[in-house]
Amino acid sequence: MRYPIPSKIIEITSATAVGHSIWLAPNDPWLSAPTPGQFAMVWLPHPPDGYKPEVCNSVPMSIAGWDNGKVRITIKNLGPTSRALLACQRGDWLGLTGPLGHGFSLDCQHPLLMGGGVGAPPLLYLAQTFAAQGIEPITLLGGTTENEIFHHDEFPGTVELATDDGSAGHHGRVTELLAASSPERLYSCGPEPMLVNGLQWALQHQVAAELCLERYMACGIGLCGICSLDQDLVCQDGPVFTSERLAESREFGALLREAGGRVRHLSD
Amino acid sequence: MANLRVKLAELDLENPVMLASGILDSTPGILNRMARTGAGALITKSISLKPRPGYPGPTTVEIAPGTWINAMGLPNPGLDEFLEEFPLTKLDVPVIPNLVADSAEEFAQLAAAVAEAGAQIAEINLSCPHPKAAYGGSLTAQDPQAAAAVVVATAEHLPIIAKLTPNVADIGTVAVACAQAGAAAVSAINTLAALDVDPELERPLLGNGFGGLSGVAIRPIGLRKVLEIVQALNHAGFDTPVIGMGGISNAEDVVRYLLCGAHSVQIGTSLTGDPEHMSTITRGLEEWMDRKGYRDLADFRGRILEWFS
Repeated sequence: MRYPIPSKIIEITSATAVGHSIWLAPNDPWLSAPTPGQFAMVWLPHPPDGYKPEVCNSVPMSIAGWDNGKVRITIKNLGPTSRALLACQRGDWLGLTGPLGHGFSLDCQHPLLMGGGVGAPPLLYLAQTFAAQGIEPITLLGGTTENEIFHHDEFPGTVELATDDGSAGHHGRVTELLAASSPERLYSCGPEPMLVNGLQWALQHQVAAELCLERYMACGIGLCGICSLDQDLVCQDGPVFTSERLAESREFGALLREAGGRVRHLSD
Repeated sequence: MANLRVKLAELDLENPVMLASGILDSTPGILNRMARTGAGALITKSISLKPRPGYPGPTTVEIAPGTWINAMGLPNPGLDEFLEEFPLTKLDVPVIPNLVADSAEEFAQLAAAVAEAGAQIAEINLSCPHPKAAYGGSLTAQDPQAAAAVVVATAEHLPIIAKLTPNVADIGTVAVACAQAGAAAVSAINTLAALDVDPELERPLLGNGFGGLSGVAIRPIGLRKVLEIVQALNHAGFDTPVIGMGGISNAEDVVRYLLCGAHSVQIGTSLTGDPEHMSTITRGLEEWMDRKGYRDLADFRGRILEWFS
């Protein structure tokens, strides 16, 4: 049943300058491991002290980890609801609907992971899942500055960083690190311009790619259709799409929809 | 081979199974996909003059298997962006706009605009049960005169389907008032006014607080309301088509509504997460008719009415 299961915050970890990670214990534990790339609708049911009730909302967030029924979510300070979620304390309650959507495929011996911003958390869970299968992934993580990159010290396998200010790793864009790679498959999640560059690189070099997309979602469970990408529902058919599918998309990299389904062109 | 075709005003539909408003119809892309599922027609989400962002989440919660409470808040990009973007006349399947407003004058403006854009019929949402909205939807369909006034104002521009709320003492009276006012069809039922609460979190389950109940649990209520409407219309001398909906999740449920006298049906909640389920239902209806040896929908439509005469 697609119900926001009451879930207690049992641990807060991995703080950066722009957010942190929480572990949730759902009252009905998630008995089987979600697929990396799947997401949950995370509901803030009560405003934290000092916040107005208007911050309460239910928003889609990637799953950053799973451990015996407990679920990890990493929150970036992006809007009123995520700011209020970051103000929640250990012992506070959230609602958790999920796991939702289709995640990454795991049949890969030499995976390359590329993330930026809140794209890092689902890739952390993906890297941990590969590591548990004895596969060592290579991960490229990008950000404005070092202390805004989530989880970079937690990834199993090799990690390379890229920062806009040169505070860590390569001074420049994370996509510039792709040049030296020849993976079996590229897995990526992060800002859409980064994904667009990743897709171009993958197509040019004939590397299979799976990209995890973000869209505004009003229901998250395949009822309203506002998150649609062309004729697909990002909440249902995605959020992970293959490079073959995205190469023929008219909307990927071009337009998003906001509340009410209003169109916003990415070039605006 | 059974003939599933039905006439709806000037439209000739392949079959009597339509996509209900508010489900998988928020963007041209998803509407295109639904056009390939075998539906006889597609009703769009409710369109208002100005954009509406919708309510905060949770907007939709499954409270028992197949039974949902929702308050989406009629999210839509507003009339102008809708007309610019939506393929009202470009699909193989008829697209029927659903309109929502808070006065008869605004409803008329919307009706004029969609008629101008090529719509051949429109559904008016007289029955949205979200009282926090500025719109008078729920009030309109609870007052036969007010509902009739909106029908009169809109039917001037194109044929109108009046969508009714079950949250009234006597839905037949409202249906007759709409028929008298010139409605080309009535559709029912919209969701039932509802509230649910999470005991652990000690608050309403929906972001909006109140919401509407839909899904399998409301099917017997929908059937009874449709039967009451058909009886009332017959009694008043109208043969206005009644489009039945509420809790339809398979072909047998479609048959149930048709047996109660529905002209055609709409499907919403049971498509959640499975848009292609629509084609299973339309195929199943044809198979059921073939198995029963029915050539036409009229062969069995309304058969239940004799039990209540």
